[in-house]
Amino acid sequence: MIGFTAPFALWALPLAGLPLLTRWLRSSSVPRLDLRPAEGVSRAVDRGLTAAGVIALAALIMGLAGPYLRGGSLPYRGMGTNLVLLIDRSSSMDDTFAGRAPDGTDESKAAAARRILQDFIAGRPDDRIGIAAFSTAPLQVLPMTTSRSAIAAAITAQSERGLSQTDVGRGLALAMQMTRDASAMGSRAVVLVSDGAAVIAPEVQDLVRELALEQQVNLYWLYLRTEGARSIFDPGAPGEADSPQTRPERHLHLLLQRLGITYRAFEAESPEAVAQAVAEIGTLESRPILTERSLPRRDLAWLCFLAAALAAALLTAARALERPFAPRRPAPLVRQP
Amino acid sequence: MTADLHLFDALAWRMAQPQPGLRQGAHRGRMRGAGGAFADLAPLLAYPDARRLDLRRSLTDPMGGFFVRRFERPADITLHVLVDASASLGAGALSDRQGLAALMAGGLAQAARRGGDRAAVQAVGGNEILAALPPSRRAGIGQQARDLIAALIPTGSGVGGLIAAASSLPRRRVLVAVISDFDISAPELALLLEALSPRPVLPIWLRDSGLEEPPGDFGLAEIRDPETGRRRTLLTSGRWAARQAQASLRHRQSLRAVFAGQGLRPVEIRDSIDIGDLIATLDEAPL
Repeated sequence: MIGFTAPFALWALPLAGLPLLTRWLRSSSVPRLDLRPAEGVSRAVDRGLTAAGVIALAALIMGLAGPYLRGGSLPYRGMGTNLVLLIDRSSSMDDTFAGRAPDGTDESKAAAARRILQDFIAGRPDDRIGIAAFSTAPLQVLPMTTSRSAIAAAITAQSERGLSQTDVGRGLALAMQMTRDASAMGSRAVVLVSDGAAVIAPEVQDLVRELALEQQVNLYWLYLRTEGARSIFDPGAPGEADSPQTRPERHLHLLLQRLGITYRAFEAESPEAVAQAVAEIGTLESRPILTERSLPRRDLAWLCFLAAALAAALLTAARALERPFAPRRPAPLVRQP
Repeated sequence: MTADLHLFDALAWRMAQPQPGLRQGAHRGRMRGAGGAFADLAPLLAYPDARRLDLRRSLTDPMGGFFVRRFERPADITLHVLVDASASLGAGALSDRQGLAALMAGGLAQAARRGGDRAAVQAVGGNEILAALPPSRRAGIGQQARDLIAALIPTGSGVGGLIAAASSLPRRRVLVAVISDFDISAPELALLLEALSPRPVLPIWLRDSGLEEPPGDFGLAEIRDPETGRRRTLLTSGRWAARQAQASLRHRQSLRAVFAGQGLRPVEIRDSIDIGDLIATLDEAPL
């Protein structure tokens, strides 16, 4: 598909016929051409010069019109997945893994998660990735896309300070809804990055359950455990209070386990553990995927100008080689003895 | 300009056939009269001029008749100069063809007048007559003819007009001098000579060595036919020049063959006129 930046210049294209009407070289008068022998080489040069003139003008006008090859997207098979990153934006994410405000030596959980996720997506060129965040309310940050720059910018944009609440249930529902935009081929995955959970209302639980069955997503929970917090795998001592109100993280884990989909939880207490968990998710989610690669628009004007320059060089060479048929030096009328 | 014309005063031509006509001239006449060369004897009764009684013949005649001597009466002719002024006359490389044509026309007219003949000039370009001078033996006709040809602009193409002009010329007491570059094909030349016959013809061929043998430098030459306007670009080289010269030579030979077929030998002027050569050639011209 060829487009033009200045298509009105194409109106000048008939001017390219001028070399058919006029001649490039100065002519000398030689009577009775039909009685003189014509040669194949000369005929070829004759036609070549006219053609060079037409090509030079046409290519110049085409070049001025600015042709380009339209960009687009090219579907292709890659290795990756349809991935939705669900990022916790609660204010506790701004603390370090030790539960303190970042003081320069340790980075916050949110910063570590961003850094590791940036590295993660940089190493996976074929993934379609969408990003959602949640705190007081779920928030769609970026619909599923293959644009690496958009994804990197969206992750970087999560550096604003978080809010107080953690509405993880509706966040999950949003993330699962976003996987509806996934490409037909390839697996879908939701990676939940959070450092805590909250009580999930029963109706939201029902919604999450329905969506999980509908979309058949693989769910990964990257639990950034603050130092001193209880593990989600810890069933607790006998007799200890074990309710969603006292231990929301463990009950979220139990809810996700009961969804009937592939689910894995990773507990990370340091940036290194986060990186390890993310690498493992990466190996688990490398499957064939039908995705698309975007092709940039390609400028073709240089080709036209190159052709015009070559043709003009040919014409210049012809002008340099120009000579009269015979020198015009009339002898005196009467020969002097 | 005037200076060159007097060189042609010595130019003379001798007609092969006795010419009819009453006017006194410089050529052998068919009429019998008093002056000139002896022709024959006639009975006195048929030709009663007792001054020229041939005593010897009369005395020895067994029948006793009287005879008189008769002499050829020299006659004059009209020189018709036919100039082919088609556009190719203006094309030339090493010669000024139009200047040559003008000088030849003027010189021949001048020489005709000197020899007691009348001269007429017609310049034909394409299908029309571009300039004409009626037959006359006025003083200064040579210069006038030369100026006329030098001033015209050669136009037109083909030999159609030339053939028409040739066939409308008088058939007797003429000598037709055809001044042309003869850049025509052999069949065209044959048609032209056909139209001119049976008049005595003096073809004057203006050749240009530059057009016949172009130099063999490598390059691109654009040529244009002044008659048809056709153009062609040529890749020139030494071999190309050799082929051109060869083709030109072949063409000239074919034209000479056509001339010879009509019993003619053209006066070939190559680039410029050599008066001595011209006089010698005209003296031997089969007219």
